[in-house]
Amino acid sequence: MGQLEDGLNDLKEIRSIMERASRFLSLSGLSGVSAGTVALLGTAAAQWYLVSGGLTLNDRAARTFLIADGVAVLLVAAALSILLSYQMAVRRKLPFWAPIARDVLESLLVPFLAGGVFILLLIDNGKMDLVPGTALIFYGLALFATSRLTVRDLRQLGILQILLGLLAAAVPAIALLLWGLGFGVLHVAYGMLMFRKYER
Amino acid sequence: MKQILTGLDRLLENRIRLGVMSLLVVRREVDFNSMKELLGVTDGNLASHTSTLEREGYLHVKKAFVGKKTQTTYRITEAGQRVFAEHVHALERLLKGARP
Repeated sequence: MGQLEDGLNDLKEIRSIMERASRFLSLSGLSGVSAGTVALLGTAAAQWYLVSGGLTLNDRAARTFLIADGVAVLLVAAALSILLSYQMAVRRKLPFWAPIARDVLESLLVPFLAGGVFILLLIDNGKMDLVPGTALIFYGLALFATSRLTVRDLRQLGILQILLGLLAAAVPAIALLLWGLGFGVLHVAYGMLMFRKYER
Repeated sequence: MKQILTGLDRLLENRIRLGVMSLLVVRREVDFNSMKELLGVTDGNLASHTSTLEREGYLHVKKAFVGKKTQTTYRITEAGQRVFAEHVHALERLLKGARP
């Protein structure tokens, strides 16, 4: 009997330590939902702008709006994620800036920076229609790399984003739609899944 | 170190050593101070357990100078990963078998 209780307590302890060590993961549920919602709004805005102006992604006239839209989505989604993570850390009485946060940030930043520069080059060359796919691919790679430091679920999400990105690059006509699917729908779905799995 | 019948690892029956290994399984590399903070243990206590684990080949220790201070970081070895996985499986089996 004593051995059983010890065993159960050991498993609980292992789980709790792993969660503490990879604390950033348990915060991503609501962050995912909020980031996804922002991305959906951003996609809708872009779609509306293009349709109402009779424009395509590659039209110069649309460029400024699309870039501003994309940057706004990125900033608002990042800010909301950080805010929600911070709130959750406070509620759970955990330090917000733990070493794991640095590891996570580092592993996200390398693919982000490479992708960011590459996207700037694409824009500079007038290949706006390749931007959604490229963003999805690099984002997926960042998630894939970071999944080692967090939950395994991020790995699947990363792979899905990469696949959508490749499809978007192959079929630029539906690139914006796929962008909304990846950054919007997938984020919301995964966020809700993670929230139910880890935070309830 | 292993009990042949159960697959449980004797070294990992200690909570702190089990904690160290749990951390290193999810993190590529952990420094001494973060480990201390995450596990909520004292310096001396943690040091003696990590050196036991090092001696048994469960983890790698790396010492580097950061300014004037030494910084010690730990990584799990392949053997350590294997032992930990078996230990967890054994615990799970133990609990499953106990259910009516």
